[in-house]
Amino acid sequence: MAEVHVIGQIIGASGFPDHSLFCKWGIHSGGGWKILSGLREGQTQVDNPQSEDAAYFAHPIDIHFATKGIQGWPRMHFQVWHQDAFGRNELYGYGFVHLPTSPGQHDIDCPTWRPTGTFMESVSQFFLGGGPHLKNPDLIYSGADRYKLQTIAMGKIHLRIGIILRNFDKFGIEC
Amino acid sequence: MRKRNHLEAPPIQVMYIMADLSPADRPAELSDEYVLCAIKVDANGVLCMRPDFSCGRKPYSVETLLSREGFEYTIENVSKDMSRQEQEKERKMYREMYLRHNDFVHSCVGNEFELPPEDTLRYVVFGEILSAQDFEKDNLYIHMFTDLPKNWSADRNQQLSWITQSCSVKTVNQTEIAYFSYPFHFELVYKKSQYSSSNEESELPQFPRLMVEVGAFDSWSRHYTEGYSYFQLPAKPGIHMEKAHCWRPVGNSVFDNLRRFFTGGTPEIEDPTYVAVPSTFDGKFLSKFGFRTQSTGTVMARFNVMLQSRTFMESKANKRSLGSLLESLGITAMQANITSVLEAFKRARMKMVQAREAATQELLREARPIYKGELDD
Repeated sequence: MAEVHVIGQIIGASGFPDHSLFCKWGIHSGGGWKILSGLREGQTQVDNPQSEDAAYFAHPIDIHFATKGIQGWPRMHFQVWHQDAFGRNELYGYGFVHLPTSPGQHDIDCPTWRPTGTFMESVSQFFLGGGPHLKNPDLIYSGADRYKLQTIAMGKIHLRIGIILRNFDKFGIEC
Repeated sequence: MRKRNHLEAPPIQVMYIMADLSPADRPAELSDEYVLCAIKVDANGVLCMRPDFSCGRKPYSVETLLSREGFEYTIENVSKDMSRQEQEKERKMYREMYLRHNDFVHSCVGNEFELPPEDTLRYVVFGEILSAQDFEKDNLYIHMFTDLPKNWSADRNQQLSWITQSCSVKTVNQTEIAYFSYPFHFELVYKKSQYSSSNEESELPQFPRLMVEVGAFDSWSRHYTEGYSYFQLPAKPGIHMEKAHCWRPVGNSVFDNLRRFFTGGTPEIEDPTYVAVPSTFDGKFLSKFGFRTQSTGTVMARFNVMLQSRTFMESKANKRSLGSLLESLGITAMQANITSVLEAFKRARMKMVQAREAATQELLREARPIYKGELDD
């Protein structure tokens, strides 16, 4: 019977090797959570700054959750993609962040990484673009041999999220 | 406009107010019609009027093409406002609709919530391992597990140890940093055991720790231990950004360094909890003197901490009774009024009784016993 309002925006992304980026985002929550209103995933526009260092999306996030328990608190996943001059899309990074649990306004930086392949694959990636993706991004959360996945650090996604909680104190939750 | 703008525009309805400006002698033709005003409504309910009402400004002008005649016109709003009753009706309808939507949303949400068992404190952490920086080798991964002190327990299916993916570093501002962005979450339960000895009664609970081990793999499958550290999990709920500075054990001789350089393999710690307070430690004075280490980089993580317990609910209920006490203070004033009226009544009654007593006494004093034969004349 508690409710969570998430009101914020994806401000932009910085630190990536090239401009012309767009971002696919989604929010994944546990079984006891229900979305009362709002979109749970989306894709921003392609931002191609000429002189700025960072790409700005200003993409709104506005979701209203109802929940029966703390478990399965929602988390966001991001995929940053790069669109080159020929219109090809290549993956520039994955990022994962939990939504903040305390009410108020939060500025969050989400670092991103992308999978690397063998040396030959990175040579062909340099010339042709493309590159390995994760087949199923949910597998990142489990597994003991996760360290065998080779990745490389990319840039950061900037978010500003405001959280409003309702009825959490009635159920003895301090946050 | 459709070709230049790839946004989908909603369908629009347009109404034109036109005037027939043909001269009086000629019959009217299509070219004599001039548009005075265009009113557009789109599917989102946006009304757009061009040109707008004059509102006291200069009148608009239109000129015919053939005869070069100029006409001036103004546009005024003469529509009747909604009557008061209709406004009331509309407001009531909106309120009703809003209440109904509210009820629907409430019924979706439901009334239940999952609570921890009695007398326990549930400690929930949702966190991410963000990054690691300033380590010596490339291709780092992080292995983390929780160390539970006494009185803490976890569910059997709860995952308490995590290994991230390996990440190659990139250089940012002269530091080499690897981004992990690895989310994790866990839930622990603190329950004061019944049979604790007397000197433990006054101790605050020791909150758990997250042991961190940073390792590196290179392309020749050499494994390096890059550092050990730990995060002390915060006791205060909220969002915490924590940094753990790491160190790695260093052997006593030059050969250990050579071995590490050529073949990998460094001295590792046998007891992983040695990093903080070893689990075998029971005395009063912890000394790690003689253990040689070298500082390496830092690991950054973000923790979202929440505490839940039924006792918090009770204190919230107590707060509510304080509120109702404050409310009832207003009633006490009324009660005081009633009491004062009752008091006054009581006093009046006392006075009346006293007066009656006095009168009776008077009468009794003046009375004397009636002798025989007095009343006979």
